[in-house]
Amino acid sequence: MNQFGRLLKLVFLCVPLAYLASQFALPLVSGIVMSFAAGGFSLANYGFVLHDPLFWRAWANNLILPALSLCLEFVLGLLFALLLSSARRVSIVTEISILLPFLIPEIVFLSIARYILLPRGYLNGALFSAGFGGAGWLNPGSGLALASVIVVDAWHVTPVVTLVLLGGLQTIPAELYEAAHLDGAGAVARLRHVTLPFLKPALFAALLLRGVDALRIFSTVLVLTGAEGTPVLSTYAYQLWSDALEPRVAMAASVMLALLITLLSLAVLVLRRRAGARGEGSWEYLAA
Amino acid sequence: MTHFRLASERVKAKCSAERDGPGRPSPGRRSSARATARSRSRGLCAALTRLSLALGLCVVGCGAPQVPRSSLTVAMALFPGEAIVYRKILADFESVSGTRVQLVTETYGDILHLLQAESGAGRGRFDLVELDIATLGQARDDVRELEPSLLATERKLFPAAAWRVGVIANQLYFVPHRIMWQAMIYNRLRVPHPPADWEELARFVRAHPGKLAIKGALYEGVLCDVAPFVWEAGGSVLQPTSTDTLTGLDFLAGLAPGLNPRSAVFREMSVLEAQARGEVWIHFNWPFAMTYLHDKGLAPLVDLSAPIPAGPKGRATVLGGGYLAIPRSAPHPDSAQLFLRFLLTSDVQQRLVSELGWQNALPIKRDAQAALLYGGFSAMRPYMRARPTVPDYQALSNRWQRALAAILFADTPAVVALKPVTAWVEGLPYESVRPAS
Amino acid sequence: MGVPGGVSVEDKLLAFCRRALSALVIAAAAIPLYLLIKQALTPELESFAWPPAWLPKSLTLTYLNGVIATGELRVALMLSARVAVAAALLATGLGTMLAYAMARDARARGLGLAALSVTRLLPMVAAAMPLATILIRLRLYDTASGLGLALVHGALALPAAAILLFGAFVKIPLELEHAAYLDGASPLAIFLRLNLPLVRGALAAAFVLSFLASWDEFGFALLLQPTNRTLPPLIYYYTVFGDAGAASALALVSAVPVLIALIALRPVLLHGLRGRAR
Repeated sequence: MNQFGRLLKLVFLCVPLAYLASQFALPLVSGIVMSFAAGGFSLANYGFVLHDPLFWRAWANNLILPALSLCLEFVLGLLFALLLSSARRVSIVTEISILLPFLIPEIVFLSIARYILLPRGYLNGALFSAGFGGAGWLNPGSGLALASVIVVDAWHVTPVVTLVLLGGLQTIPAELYEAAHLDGAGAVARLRHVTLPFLKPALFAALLLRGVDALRIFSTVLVLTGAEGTPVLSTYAYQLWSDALEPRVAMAASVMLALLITLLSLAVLVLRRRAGARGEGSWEYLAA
Repeated sequence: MTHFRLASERVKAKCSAERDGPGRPSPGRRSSARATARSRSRGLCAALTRLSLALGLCVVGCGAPQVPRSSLTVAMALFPGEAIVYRKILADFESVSGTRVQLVTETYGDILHLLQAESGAGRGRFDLVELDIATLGQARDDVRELEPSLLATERKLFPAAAWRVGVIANQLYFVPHRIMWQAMIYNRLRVPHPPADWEELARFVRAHPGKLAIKGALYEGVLCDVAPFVWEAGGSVLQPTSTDTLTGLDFLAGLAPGLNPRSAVFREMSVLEAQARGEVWIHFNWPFAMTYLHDKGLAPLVDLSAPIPAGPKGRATVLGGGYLAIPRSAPHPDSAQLFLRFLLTSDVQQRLVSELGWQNALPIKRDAQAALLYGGFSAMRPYMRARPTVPDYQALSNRWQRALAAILFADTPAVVALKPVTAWVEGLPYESVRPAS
Repeated sequence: MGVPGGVSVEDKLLAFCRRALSALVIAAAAIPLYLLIKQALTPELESFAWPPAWLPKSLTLTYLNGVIATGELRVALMLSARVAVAAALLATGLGTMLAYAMARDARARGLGLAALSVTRLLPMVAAAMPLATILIRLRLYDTASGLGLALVHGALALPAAAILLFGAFVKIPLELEHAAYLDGASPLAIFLRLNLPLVRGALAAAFVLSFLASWDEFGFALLLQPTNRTLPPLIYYYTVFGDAGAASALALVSAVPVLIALIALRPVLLHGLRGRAR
């Protein structure tokens, strides 16, 4: 194409990228700079964070929580995707129900989840009416609170995993199933030898997509247990920012979270490449 | 890094950190009907007061000819509903003084930020600002000294403890605008006899584990709940490891296993919700707790207020609220002084109490229902104490908050947990540790 | 599966599992929605009672009327809508530009994909806190217009919009463009008159998804608009401040546009959601 065409494409590329940079790269860089500032260049903010027991609790939770939550989401997401793709006809009600928890505003969903899980909430109320004792689903620092956050998080985002896997399932040729069926393969065998191998790319895409979000978990924890109850790095930084009014320390904590996410994603991509998959498209998974 | 520091401070106010949220019921809403009835009977009296005030203002005004018919810009942390009522009071001042008043409503955090920004620039828009009591030490360098005569004539309006907070190094910088203090909120159906002293409180916790809660989240509120116990033992927030302070902390640490398990995350409003749901039977809170419970239909039927249980050295409660000051950069400081004089009259103060529902200065004149609801608060009035007005109170408070979390929720011995607080206090200049009385 | 023929025990079991899963899915969606409506329309004391009432005993409009009367609902609703429309316009507009460049140029494609991916790695707090300090200096922090928030929401929604539109642009055969070029059309005219009309569907989907993304967004709104609040932070404050009725009434109002979109645009959403992040 001519020069004007090239110029148009250049402008079309640069303007959006500059906009993205102004909203994300610029703040990130200025955040990194500020995290090293304490009356001149200093590591004091990082020192504070590393000596804070709450930080280490947040750090541990920030690894445990996403890991368990991803496991649960993938098991459920796979089940739902198989359900949607295998049934001859999926009712509109089921389809809407699968999407609904993710589509209603997150805060609305979390607010209701909190009312269900409160010590005198709907869940304990139902248990009480049925003759059981209740449980402290949200008690700060307890394993049960961690489990509650995981279940609510999975409840909320399983639809995303379902949709990505559903996309993957639709690429599997029906003839393969027919062939497997004629060979006398049962449902489990068909799942193991036909479905899962074909689903690998979609599983990987969903893992990256959801993994990054799971590591950034913020509102679920804040609404359900409060920043001190099941601290993760995002809520830890938020507490320092809004309650302790220690912005520079808060920035140090958030920079460490950004670092954690970047390193883990890179590790996953490198592992994937090692495993012999096509390396070229790996970024696409993240963007998709 | 000035810009940066300011950024963070825009977010929230201090002890009543949650007051800028929407959920806190505005006390003005409930009392406005009562107020209209009362204002009619007060008409004549008020007219006379205004006349005398107008004369007074004329006299003072003549003494300050450089600001005739000026305007005044005021920044206050008011709710929309409160601002509507407050504008009526401002209109009265406008009519008697001829000064036009512009009211800007912001959060306490924002006001402090604006004050520091304008002071740094040396030129400002605001003539009068309302500041959270906990930030007075921080704001002191950016505000003007006030005429000592304000203190001399209006002393009777507020308890001595409330005035003392505004005096730093024998100079008056801040005057009380609205003051509030904590009392005990209890479920009268479950707790027919609210514990009156520490021993009874300990007995209650042993008998009903999980039913006493404190606001233990990592924010200013935890210090507001704990400081009274330190004071009641004779201790001080600025003497973290004195025997008396440790007595108070040890008492609380002894109660800790029986506290409501969610105490580590409770804040003013969430603990109140737990009280409303019957999950908690006793906790400590500000007067708006009673307004909240009343609006829910739970007070006075189910919940009431009572004095905080007395300790070995008597009773104490924490003083909170907003104070007024004239910024160093104020364009019309003399008009601002006039407005302060107007505000510090018993007539206007009575209006703040009855129309805005503030638990303010005067011995509260109320109807029988209000007397019942706020009984615990009235009883605690003589025992209010302020947190120290050191220059960087936030740093002190943050260290205390983390130490208290360790003592109450992680079984750390108080002496060990308080080491960072001790180190910080030892770094203070001598005069900050002993504020002028 | 679902192949006609001999029905084995395994297949019967499968059918049962399908039914059980369907029931679970429907319950998981219906219970929160039901409780939301119930709390918004019944007196708070019914929810605060022990055990809390699952079935309404009486109905009230107190909470809906309350949030309307104080004006909080109107203000937050208008702000949310303004921010979401502005963000959706930004994301769709700039997303279209980026998607077109990516679809027509291999190098732009690599660069664009890398940039969009990196964007998704950034945690909210790491961007929002420094952004707050920058917006203060620009006098865009916590404004009644919500412009600062709209800018960042636009950037948040841009990657998904761009990917969606990229998928639409690459489907347009290059021969069409060449033909138009030979006819003497300028590159800009080719983009505007030839390409854009062909991706109308994707444009609409990108706009709706970006609007919903901003409408739902909580973290940035909480940090950048502490007093001029959009709906999500307002619902959060009402929730944690113990006003179940008002919180649910607001939540119900904010869920309405989403429910309408869900029912009306189900096919679009099913397609577009794959590119949408939380």
